Amino acid sequence: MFGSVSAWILSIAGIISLSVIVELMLPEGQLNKYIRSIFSFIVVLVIIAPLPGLIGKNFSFSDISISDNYTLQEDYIYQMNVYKTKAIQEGISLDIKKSGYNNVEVSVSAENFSTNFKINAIYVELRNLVITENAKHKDILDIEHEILEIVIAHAKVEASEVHFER
Amino acid sequence: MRKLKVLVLSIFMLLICLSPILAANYTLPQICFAASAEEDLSDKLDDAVGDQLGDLDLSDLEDILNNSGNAADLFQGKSFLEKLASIISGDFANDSTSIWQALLNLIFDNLLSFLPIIATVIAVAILGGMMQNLKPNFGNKSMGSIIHFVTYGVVVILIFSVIMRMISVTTSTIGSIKAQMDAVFPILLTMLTAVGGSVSVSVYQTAMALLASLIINIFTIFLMPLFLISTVLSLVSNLSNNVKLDKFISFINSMFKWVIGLVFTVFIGFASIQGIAAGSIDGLSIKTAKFAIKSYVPIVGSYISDGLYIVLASSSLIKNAVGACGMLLLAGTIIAPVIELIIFMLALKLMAGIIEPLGDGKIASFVSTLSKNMTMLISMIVAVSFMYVILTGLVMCSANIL
Repeated sequence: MFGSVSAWILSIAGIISLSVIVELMLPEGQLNKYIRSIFSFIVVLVIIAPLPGLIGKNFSFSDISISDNYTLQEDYIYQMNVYKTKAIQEGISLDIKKSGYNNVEVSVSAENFSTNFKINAIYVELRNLVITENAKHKDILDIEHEILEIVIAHAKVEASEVHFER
Repeated sequence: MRKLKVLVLSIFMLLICLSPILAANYTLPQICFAASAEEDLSDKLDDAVGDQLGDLDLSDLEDILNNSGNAADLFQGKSFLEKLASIISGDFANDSTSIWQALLNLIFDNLLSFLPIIATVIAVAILGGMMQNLKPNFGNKSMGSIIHFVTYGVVVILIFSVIMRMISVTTSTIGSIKAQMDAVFPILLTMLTAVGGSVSVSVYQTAMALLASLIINIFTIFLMPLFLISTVLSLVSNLSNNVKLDKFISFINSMFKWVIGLVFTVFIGFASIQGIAAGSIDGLSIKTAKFAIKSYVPIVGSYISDGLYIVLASSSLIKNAVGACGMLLLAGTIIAPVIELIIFMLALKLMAGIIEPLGDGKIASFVSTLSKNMTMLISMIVAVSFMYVILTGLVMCSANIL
């Protein structure tokens, strides 16, 4: 497509240069006028010659290509998700500690390899549970319920996604 | 012409103004903390930023920076990572004077390098004009047109040697802008994903691929030949009095303007509207995630304990700093060619102005047509970089609600 365009432009330039040179060569006279008009006619012909060929032609833009999408840096996103998981884990542990339960181990399982960060499940281990003063005399189920509320409030997960181990 | 001037001006103003604004907006966390907690938080933020910067792969950008002369000056000999770290820590100071110094040096260097060609062209044209005026002495009437032909040929050869250089400068500049896009965009998209802007990522990913492949291709495969066609036709059009192609040239020129305007408007319109819409959706989801994670726990100092906030905030800081550094790199790449092209355009106008009263009218009109055509080359570089800047700015502005 672009090769034919450049051929077209070159032929326009060529015919005009030719007409100028011929004009320089020609002696003064009546004939001069006619030759000029013939050359202008040829220039018009050269300009419009490729235009009828455009009708009914299918243009292919295959040489103008769209490259594929950019690939993200998966390693970095994974590392970020690990940081986020760790941060949520620490936040929940801190909240539980502040309501008076020590030695509760929280582990968060999330989709670290995905670009959409999502928490799958939260495991709370109560085996080494130590109760401080402000939360005495409670049933283990009550404690579990309380911790469940803290976890849900912090990480906004469904109650079914929080698992307790005693 | 006026539009182009406004464009050139606005892009430089954008590039120069953007960095301090970004510094003011993003280097500090946007929430006020208690004074005692502030130091603790900034330490934590520093640590998080340092960790995340270590994880980021910047090797492509470092390669580009090492291979570009002018951009390296703007970075003051720092590597990309160091500049990133200094922008994040808010260290922008004392840049502007050195930038102005470099700019002035560039302008005067270019002026000096174009002086010989200006002088030669003017001398040849004046000589030709003088011989034209003395032609009755030669006796022959067609002698005048032969003199014009020869003078014209010499002027064309002189000017086209420079124009060929300008074409290669423009092509290589657009090529290096594309290389920068290919290096910066994946990092920006990665950071946007890390912050949680998944809807924005899907919008910008297609927009960026479109800009870096289709639009760059339109510029190099379609618009560059249009410039060449217009230049060649203006050459032959001024060759003789009989065959005039002015209207045909104006057809080519207006085709160029329409194509560049359409591409620009459609791309910017779609990218910004979609981007803003997607950004608000993402902002909503990030906000709800934030509320879910912390607001219902009534513990004093939960901001500081909130490690997730620090992770997200430092990602957001790095995202904006990568964008700012990318723009700095872009500025370093385009400043030299754009100034060279502008000065060459002005030099052509000066030549036309001096030749017109003394010498040949046709040579003057040829030179001034060429100076109009040079705006095509400038507008190609400026339009590509403007689209790049706007896209980067949109990514920097989205998903910042922390």
